[in-house]
Amino acid sequence: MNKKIENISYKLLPFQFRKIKNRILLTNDSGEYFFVEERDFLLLIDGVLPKEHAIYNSLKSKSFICDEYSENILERLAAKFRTKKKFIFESTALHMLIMTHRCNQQCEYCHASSKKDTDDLSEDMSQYTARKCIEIVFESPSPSIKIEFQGGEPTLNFPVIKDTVEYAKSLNGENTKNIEFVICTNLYDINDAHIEFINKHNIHISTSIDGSEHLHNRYRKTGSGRNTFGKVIGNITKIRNHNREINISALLTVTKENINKLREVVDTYISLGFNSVFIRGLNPFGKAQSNWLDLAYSDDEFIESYFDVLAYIINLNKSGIYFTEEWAAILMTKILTPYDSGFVDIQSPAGTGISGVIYDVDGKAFISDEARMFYRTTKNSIFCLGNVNSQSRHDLMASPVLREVLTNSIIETLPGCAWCAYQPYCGSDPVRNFSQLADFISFKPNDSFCHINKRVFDYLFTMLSSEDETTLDIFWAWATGRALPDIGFSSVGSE
Amino acid sequence: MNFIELDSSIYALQALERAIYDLSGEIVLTIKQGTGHYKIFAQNEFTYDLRDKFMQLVVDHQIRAKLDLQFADFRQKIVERAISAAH
Repeated sequence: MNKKIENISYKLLPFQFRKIKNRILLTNDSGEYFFVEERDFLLLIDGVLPKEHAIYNSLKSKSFICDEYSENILERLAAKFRTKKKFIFESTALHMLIMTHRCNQQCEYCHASSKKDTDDLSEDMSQYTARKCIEIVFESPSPSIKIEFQGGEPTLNFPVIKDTVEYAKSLNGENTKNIEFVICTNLYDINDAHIEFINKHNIHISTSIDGSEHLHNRYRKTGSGRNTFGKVIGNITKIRNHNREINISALLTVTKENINKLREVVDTYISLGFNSVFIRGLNPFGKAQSNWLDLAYSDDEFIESYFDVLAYIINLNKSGIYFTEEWAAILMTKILTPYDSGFVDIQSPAGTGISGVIYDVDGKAFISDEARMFYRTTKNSIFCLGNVNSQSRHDLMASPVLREVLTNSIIETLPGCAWCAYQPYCGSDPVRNFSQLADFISFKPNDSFCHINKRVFDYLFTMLSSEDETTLDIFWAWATGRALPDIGFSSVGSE
Repeated sequence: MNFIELDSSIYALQALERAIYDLSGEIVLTIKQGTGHYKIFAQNEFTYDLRDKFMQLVVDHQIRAKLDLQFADFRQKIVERAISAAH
């Protein structure tokens, strides 16, 4: 055999590519990535990259190419692909129960369109319906179950929360499933009995903090217009004084008010003892949609602020303050590890219905929280799977709409996504698409979610290629949920 | 001029269509197939900047189209193997 031909007998394996600055980013379906110079890229795709080339073995080990020495390549790639798509094979893990539509706050951006705190108990989930939901939850083959109590303000219907937790635990008598409970509460009216119960059952608390006192109070007010920051912070202190081990996390809603003050928001989170923040754009649902012009900002404004605060957070980590930006952490988990992050908003097929289901107060099951909000805003029940009071889990999951939504959310097949280098790490949100375009599939050239994500991915991959080892360590810590010292990182300030 | 002409023996229709899709958020381009060539029409003038941008996308999509042909069967096998191993 001719020596030259023998020297270049490799086969290309499936990959996507994208130019970032002067280099080419390669990604493949199992989530591996690699940067090559443009001239090497051309050699690679023409099939003439020599085996002696510096990048040959890296391309081979990351499964961009294989040669006669590559064993079981199909099995290896299938195993990696299966690991990335594990959520498809594990069934629904996240179950959100709307305990009530009533709320003791009236936030101008409320996605859930909550109602004022009244005595109208028809806005609450009954014990009967909650138990029906739990029975459906336990029909899911998923070994791990997260039950999230939402609202409105769920603690306004605390007796049903108590019964639901106890009923779920009784059904799980043999501890066959790993169950996690979460209460999404504004923490405005939490009392000692609530805290006692939360502590006893190891329930996580997810609350909302929009930044410092003046930022938080701008939109988060009671029905009578009172500020809420002081009382919420007082309750966080009360819970921590009861038991510091009670897990409290906070969500941020980015509005016009705080978008240019995200560094200040991060400082507030740190001063309150939180170790992460999730910088998420406003969603066009509920009151946020009605008040969009007063609350929203452009994609460019969001991106600029996001990059600024991300750089700020990375520098905090470099100085020894371990603090995570959750969106970057989710993307880094997808980029740096063999696993999916489990975050249902960015999966392919969409996590709607298969990773998460939400049950409204009357037992109607929806494929996602946004789907339920869409129904509350428009009364369009297209995303309703059925009702737990009259149907089995099998009936709900066999719903034709679920099949249609999932079929239309496999980004590997969608225009604009199929040829995108970020496809292995991205996902689709068919509910958002439908609410804006009356179509499950968005038109990518005009899709705000796509524009923002592409720029965030560009930014993150540019940082990954920068060979700044401390930033890479920080990303690894975020991706794996480990503390910086555990991955051998010592802060710049401590050297 | 509001159009450019490309040799259809060199450029794949799929590559042109994808480039048009990618740019459609900024400008409406339409395609007409003639004998041995494609004509790509812009709403207004087909400026040099637009041509550069369009051609860069076409070249990239041309590579993707060629690669996708090579990858299609193998991709399907990976998915089939992944699913069969899970059951």
